[in-house]
Amino acid sequence: MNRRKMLKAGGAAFLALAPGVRLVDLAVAASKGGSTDHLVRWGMLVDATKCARGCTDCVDACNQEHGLYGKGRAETDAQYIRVVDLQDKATGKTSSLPVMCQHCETAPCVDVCPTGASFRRQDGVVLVDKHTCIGCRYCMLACPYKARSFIHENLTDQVPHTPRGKGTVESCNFCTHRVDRGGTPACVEACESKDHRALVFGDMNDPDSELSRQLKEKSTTQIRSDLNLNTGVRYHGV
Amino acid sequence: MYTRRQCLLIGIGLGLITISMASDKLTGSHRTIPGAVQGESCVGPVEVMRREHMTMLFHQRDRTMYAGQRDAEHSLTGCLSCHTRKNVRGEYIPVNAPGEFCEECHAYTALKMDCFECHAATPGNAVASTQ
Repeated sequence: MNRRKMLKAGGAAFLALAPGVRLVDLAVAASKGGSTDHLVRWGMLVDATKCARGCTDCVDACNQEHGLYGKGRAETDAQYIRVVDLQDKATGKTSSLPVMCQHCETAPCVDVCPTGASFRRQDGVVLVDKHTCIGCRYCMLACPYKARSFIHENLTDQVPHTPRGKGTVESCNFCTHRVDRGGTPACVEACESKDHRALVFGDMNDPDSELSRQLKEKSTTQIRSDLNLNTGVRYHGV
Repeated sequence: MYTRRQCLLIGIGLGLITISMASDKLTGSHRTIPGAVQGESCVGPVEVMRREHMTMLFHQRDRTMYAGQRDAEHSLTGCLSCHTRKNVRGEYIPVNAPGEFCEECHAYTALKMDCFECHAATPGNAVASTQ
């Protein structure tokens, strides 16, 4: 076979593969066998009008669920949810709301990650593959929500469903270990059990879900909506 | 000084000692790896598990993390649920503690395990937290 024939054969093989086959399809097919679905987009609504100032029920539940404990150093202790107090300078109106990973559709952390450790699951949850994370912390710089934490020290007593370790970055994972089994995140469950009902979790793509129904009824906003990140966490009453 | 005959005998003697030590090491006859606490059989034959357990875990990790497949038979928590022993007080002993299932083999083969710097080494509250 001379060079001309070889090129012809190669071109034919390429054309035979190209129509109708996309790498995305291959990736979706490869991931079958799990519970993630590219038609689902998990999201959350935070009704800040129901968030009492000083309430930390969601944060406490999160810390317990993921085995987060501080070393008494607020600047560097890992936190998946932060409670932020706001005050409108013009009117003096105050509000208190939890801020966690917003699970953006176009997540800046995924864009900047040099190793591909930051990724977005096909159901919209943004995660860190800690086996691939090199701890460079570019994602922490890129995140407009200050959602991620870096683990500076050796840890002990990790819980089985949330492996955590020194030298990696982590953040809210929408409690995928619960959601994959049909449950809701720990913060949402805690908020409901304490009868605050400030957090609603569900599928944003399902028009019949409680989340979609409330998003349709209430006026909601995305934090830093100017960045056009299409966040999975929406706020009412901010 | 030694005669040629004496040198030969000493050499043969040293050689025999070396071979006997090496064979003891090679057969690993003095290693006792703790058996599984529960379950009739592992998820694969012993020869396969010894060689391939990390490959299985790596593949399962990707299926769990990217595709959300939980409670799979090749998961690390699956391993721990059978291979973690309890002490006399009924508390779990970490699988990477000296003499326990993972550590016993890894110490012998001089392969450093860093799984449990991040992952829990006991089943812990894995069952309690699943909803």
